[in-house]
Amino acid sequence: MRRFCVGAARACRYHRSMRNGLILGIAAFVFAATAASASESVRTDHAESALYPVEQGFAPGRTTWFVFEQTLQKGWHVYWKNPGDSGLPLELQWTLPAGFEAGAIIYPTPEKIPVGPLANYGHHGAPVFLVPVSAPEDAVIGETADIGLKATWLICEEICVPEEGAFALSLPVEVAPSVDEEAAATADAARSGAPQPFEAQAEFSVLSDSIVLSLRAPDGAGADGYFFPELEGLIEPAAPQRIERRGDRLVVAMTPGFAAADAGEHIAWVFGFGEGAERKGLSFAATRSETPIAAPLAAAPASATTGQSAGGAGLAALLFAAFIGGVILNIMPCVFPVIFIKAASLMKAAGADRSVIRRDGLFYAAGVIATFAALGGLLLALRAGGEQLGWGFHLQSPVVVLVSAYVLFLVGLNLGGVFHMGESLQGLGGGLAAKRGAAGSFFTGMLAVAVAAPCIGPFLTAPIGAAAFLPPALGLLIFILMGLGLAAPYLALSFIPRLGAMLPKPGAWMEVLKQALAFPVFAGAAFFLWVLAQQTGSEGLARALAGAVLLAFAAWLFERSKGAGARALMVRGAAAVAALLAIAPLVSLKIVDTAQASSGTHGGVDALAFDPAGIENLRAEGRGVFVDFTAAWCVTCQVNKLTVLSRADVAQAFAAGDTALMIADWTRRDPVITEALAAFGANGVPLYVYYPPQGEPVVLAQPLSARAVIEAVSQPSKGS
Amino acid sequence: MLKLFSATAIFAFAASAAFAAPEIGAAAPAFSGATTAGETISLDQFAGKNVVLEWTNHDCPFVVKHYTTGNMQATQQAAKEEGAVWITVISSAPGKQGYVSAAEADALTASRAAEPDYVVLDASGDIGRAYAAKTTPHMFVIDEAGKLRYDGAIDDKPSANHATVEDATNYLLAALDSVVAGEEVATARTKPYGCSVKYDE
Repeated sequence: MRRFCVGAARACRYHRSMRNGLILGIAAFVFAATAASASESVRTDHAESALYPVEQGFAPGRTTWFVFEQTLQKGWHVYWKNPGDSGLPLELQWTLPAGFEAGAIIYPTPEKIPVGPLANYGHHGAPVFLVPVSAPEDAVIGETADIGLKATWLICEEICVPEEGAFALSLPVEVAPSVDEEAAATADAARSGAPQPFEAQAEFSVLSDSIVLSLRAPDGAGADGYFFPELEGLIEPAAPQRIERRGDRLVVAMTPGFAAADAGEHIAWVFGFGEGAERKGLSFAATRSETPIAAPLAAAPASATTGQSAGGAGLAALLFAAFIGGVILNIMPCVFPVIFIKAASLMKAAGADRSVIRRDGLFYAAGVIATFAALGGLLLALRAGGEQLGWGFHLQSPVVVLVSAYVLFLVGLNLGGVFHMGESLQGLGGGLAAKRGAAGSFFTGMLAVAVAAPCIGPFLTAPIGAAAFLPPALGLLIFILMGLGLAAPYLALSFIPRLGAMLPKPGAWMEVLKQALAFPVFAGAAFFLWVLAQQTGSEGLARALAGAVLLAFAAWLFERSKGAGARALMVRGAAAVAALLAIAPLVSLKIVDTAQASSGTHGGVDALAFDPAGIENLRAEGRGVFVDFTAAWCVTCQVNKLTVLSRADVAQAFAAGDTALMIADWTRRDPVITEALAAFGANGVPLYVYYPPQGEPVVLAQPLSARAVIEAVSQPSKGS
Repeated sequence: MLKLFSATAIFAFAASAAFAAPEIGAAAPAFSGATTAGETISLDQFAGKNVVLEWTNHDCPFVVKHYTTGNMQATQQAAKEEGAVWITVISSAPGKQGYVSAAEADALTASRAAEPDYVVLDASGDIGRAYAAKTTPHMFVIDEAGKLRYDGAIDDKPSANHATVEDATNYLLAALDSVVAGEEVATARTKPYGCSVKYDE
């Protein structure tokens, strides 16, 4: 049924309910003969649709806005420009005088409409669509422009009905057409309800199992919103979206749809959030990211459907893993000498007051936890600020590496007996002043974390990786639990006398062992110098070694200066000068791009430098790609390289499968590698990933074994 | 611990994407279902033949367009001439639009002069979900080796307007032609259009 509503556009709009339709229809019919046509309305089985202009005429070279307003039967919906799994968008076919042109439809902010296991994007209630129609410069004033519109829409509740309506309006061409205020108000409300342009600085990545979108977080938008892509088939409309806040950005993971592979360089999006009258939309365009954007972790709280309990269990497991990883750190070669210093002091203190021992243990734990929390907090804060950093990031700075080398060198000289620092490093024996003991214990805790950093390997990658993506408070909790784990054995010794009693009795052997332990500590210092050489080249190494000699000289002078008198004072001054000269290299260290570790060989297998595009190219050629995420300062990485990846049988397996080896060298800062690590939920090295020619990449379990590597690269490729 | 953690993470993500389209070129999801004739057919019994799957709902205006204009019947005819097996699948849940008994389905086939080889009643929606069938109509082509070769719309005119059948490009027949000729299917995946399949909630 079709009916005209002519003349007073206002009357049409105010009496558009189904009930009043008939009366209005008659009224309209009566007026039809006399009034100029300015509005037209069509009633169909499930909707009432009206077309009317805001400006009541056309001005040459100007735009007249048309309102296409539909009042839908309750429970029924029409579709957005991307209708989702099924349905069709509104189609408007205009018949316009020569030179007149209709622009693109401005849609209201869409809603996600679930239909069983499917989902559509559309509109309920009374959606208003706005269309601009421009008149040509040469439109003749005084003439009448006849506007014809054939509108077609699909309207669905559960079942779908295609509907259509034809509309005809005649508008004068005038210098200054009058504006219908009611129409203008409707159009303004529609404009503010439509998606607003938003400077999102958005990027997207198409990964094999997800589409990841990253944008500036809009003010006032919660995680309850939904991202509507304009491109049909880009995502699965029914699948949940995981939205995560990362600093001042939102990162969203979506399930790819059938057309994901055809996504171009730019995709238009609408972010819809809020309910009812509060509903808002933001429109923005995203550009394809040059590097993959890390997807939010599935274990993050926003992960929907599979249930909250799984997320809770994941978090508990993560916190437990952080603690256990911290405990295991105690027996890592980097940390052990420091632990020994503590244990030695404890043994000496066997006879001391329990309260002193307990306080000492607490200060040590405080030093460990505070350092972990400070490093973790700094890491999280920098990441929130948009820095592409991961665990061990401080070791990407040559200054930090050199300081670590010098600290270990001094500790070694001290253990070896070159110099003595009062009694503070001698521990708690002989009723030592509690104050100095406390400060010393705190410092030892800090030292333990400092030397532990390069050894944070297989057991802690998952918790640290997750820490970067969890809410900051939880992330910090993970770092604190790692610290608690590292401090736990010593805390236990301090608080449980029976455990302390099981330690061997102190004696002369301790002095011998202490001196002997200087050598693993020197080895640690040597390791850091090697890392420094990778970062700064032989020039930097030369300066660092010269500094080390001066430092040793200063230590020796310091030891010689014990006692009182002018002479001792002079020697002490000389020691200070030597020490200052020793640390001079710190200010002049320059990172050189040696790039030597970026490529090279593992036991005869030629390695390529990491390149995400290169991986896809190689896979397109039917080759598998093994990526070794490593860093010079990562001890675990070096051990794996020597004991696993350099083995002849591993090299053979690579050759047999024509597998390419790629090295992602994270010794220096590299945002591309940081993002690639994050894509696997990791936030540090080592990480070993095998990309078969087809199917999903496989993350190898750690500790790494040669057998696992051979099995991974020898597997026949499977389609996913 | 790491392994356990990543395993849960991967599981959680996979589970959220349960309604995912099958992959072109991979083995088509195996299925078996009851036909209106009361027999049970399964996909593997048609190994060696090309198979066309058609999702339908006789009350959906888009399905009505293709049957009223005779387009679907003509497509069936053409497919059968190329030696393909045509299986019409009805995944409407009981009480929903398009749900029919075997007798009603056969009556519809007769009244529309349609010629499917089989009409499978999939009231549970299991087959529909396995193929991620989204609309009626939604078409699939499976080749002699059981691999999925086409997934999408019947043609390039997403409209319920009967007149659009005239100059439509039939994607399904183009795909079938390529499969029969031993060629790659140029357009192997399109967006299906129509009413949503009326699955159980």
